Amino acid sequence: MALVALACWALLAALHTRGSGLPDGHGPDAAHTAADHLAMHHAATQPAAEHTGSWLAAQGSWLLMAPAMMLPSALPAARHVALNSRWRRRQRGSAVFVATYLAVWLLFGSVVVSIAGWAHLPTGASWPLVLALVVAAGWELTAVKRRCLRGCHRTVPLPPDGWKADAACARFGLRYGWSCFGACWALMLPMALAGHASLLLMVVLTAIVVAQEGLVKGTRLGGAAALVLVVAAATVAVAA
Amino acid sequence: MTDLFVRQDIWALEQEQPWHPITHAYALAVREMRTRPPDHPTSWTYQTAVHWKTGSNPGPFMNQCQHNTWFFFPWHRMFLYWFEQTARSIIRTLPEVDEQTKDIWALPYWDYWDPRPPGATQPPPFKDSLPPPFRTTTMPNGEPNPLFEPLRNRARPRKALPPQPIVPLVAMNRGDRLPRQVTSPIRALTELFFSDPAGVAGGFGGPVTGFHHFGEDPPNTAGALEITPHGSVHNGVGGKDGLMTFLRTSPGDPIFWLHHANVDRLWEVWLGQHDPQNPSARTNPTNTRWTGFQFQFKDEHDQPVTRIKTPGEVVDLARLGFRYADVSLPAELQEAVPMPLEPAPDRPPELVGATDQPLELTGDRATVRFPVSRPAGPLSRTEAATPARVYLVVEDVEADTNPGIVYAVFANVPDDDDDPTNDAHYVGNLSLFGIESSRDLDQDHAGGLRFAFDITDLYTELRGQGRWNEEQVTVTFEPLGLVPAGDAEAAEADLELDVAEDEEEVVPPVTVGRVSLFYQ
Repeated sequence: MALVALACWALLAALHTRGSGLPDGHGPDAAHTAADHLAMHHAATQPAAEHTGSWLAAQGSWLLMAPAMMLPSALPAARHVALNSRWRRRQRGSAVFVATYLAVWLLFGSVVVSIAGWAHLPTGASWPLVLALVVAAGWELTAVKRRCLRGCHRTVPLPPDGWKADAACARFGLRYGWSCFGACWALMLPMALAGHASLLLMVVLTAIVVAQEGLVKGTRLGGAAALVLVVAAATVAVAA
Repeated sequence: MTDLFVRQDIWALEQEQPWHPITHAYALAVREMRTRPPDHPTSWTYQTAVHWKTGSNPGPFMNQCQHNTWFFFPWHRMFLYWFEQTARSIIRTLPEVDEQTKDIWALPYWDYWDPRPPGATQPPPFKDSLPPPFRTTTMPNGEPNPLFEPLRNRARPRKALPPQPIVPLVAMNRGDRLPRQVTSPIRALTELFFSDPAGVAGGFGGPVTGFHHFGEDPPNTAGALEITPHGSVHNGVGGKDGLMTFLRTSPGDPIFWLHHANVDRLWEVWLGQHDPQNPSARTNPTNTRWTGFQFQFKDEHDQPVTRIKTPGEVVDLARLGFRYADVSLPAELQEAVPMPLEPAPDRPPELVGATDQPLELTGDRATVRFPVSRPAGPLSRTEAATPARVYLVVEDVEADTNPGIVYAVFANVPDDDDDPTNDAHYVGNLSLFGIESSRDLDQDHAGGLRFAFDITDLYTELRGQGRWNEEQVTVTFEPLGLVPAGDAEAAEADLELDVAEDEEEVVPPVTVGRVSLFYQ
């Protein structure tokens, strides 16, 4: 899992540095967002094939970002599955858990990227990203966020053998994914809009996710996280 | 060198003089603290909130208690220290307290370990019953007794008794006894290591964590002494709805502080077994992650403290200015089976068997069985393929409310043994202290409790006798109720009458997600 996350980060960094690899020239010189992808290509005059290609590119971008950003915080839960499975089922149990967990995030990304495209967000505008960061900051201060964060630490009983074991690992992945979604959807919203063009933002948001889900005192970091997000929003707004 | 304050056993004080001046001064301090503004450290409400406080913004000084972590002992020692400082400062202002008592007052401790079995013929007092000053409704002068708390473990009502101003038949408050499995420190004191990072169980002092209010990291299990007697006595004294049962209310019962003083004393008893020839055993952690971790408290002047706020500052009692009157080893410890002398091996623990569906505990004896397979991991590749450690794990233990019951856990009790509570298959307790927060996502506990028992000694003994079943494990959960004080026949009669009078009482269920066995 850690290797998968690292590989995703490496690939995203390479794409970012080269400013290529995906259609539409993501990179330092092309500050287009994932929403830009779709907004630009959603015009009625856009050929259908090109629009589909951009949509796929945005989805591909998300396909790398989701594991890169969300797998690190899930490592302890995956380790819990491995340690509490029979020796020969350790990798299988962890794989089932991770697959269902990531499915939740891939579904989220797919929906948000699609909606962003259909919403005709202005090309090159920074306000959607600023708005998303402000929303994320506000979400950090809610009781629902804290509840979901605590839910990320819950485990489910794992039967030792057979289909019951697989089903429990899948159920754990879904439950963990659902709690994690409730805690972090607002943090991932900026990335769904910004795409991998903002590698620095990815790093900052991933650090918040890992700190909150990984540290035992994570639920008490809401205020600090909100402050970081507000600063990020202000930085984006000023730089625009 | 200044004289050290001496924390004395409440039973020794009682023996010296009923309502000893030390005890009386404590009662007056409690009464005074209950009149102070709730947001000031000298108030009873504030001190309770330091341990646990509901609400979204408790601030840095409240809701700070540490459980299921290696900070359990040092944090509670600091908590007691600052409470004691506050209480002493109040006592020194009270005109009813004599000057000598003002000079020497220290928080007493309640040593509840009483090896006498149920129905013992020796005369009371039984140390595992509540000391008299805590269960009488009035002080000697007839004024209401601040140490009396009506919300404690109660037996079922008996209609035959006339009505009384205080709820009749409060079991702890009428001098009934906690069971020996609830009060016994023996098993915990046999632990060799403060924490055992490579193992599954929590060692003596709890697992290595960061700040850990209660259950932020559910896979963690408490240290042996935190489970029993600490958690078990909490539940035993509090029962279903008593203050001592719940994290948010327990410091509100004046006996809480004496209970924790005893827990703190047992830490010293454990350290007293340190053997220089085995330097890593029975000693405190030296890791700076433990010694240097800072907690926050306020003193009696409402000022944040600048000292006595890290574990490293509280390991030396003399530095704190006090000692315990008695830190000798319980005689029964000599008969206990010694724990393995080496830390858990480096290889990972391996699951060799588990239940495949949850179990519900509803106040009756419950038994589960599950098959055990041969290890397939690194252990199988060792020469002997015999585990250096064997753990019985009871995990994902959840409930909506605390049933006020402690469940004793037994492994591989023979089917023809009708009285498992007296046999050698006892491995520990499900203490359930704090379980009410296991499903409460509004609090800093996110999941079920986990109990990991190192049963290497039992495994070794039974295997040596050819009685360890390599194919299957049987685990029995036995509810532990209060033991009526007095002679055996009267006690039995009491108990039967109580049960007959209250057949409709429903015990809140506790769900056990999984019971499993690990070899390492």
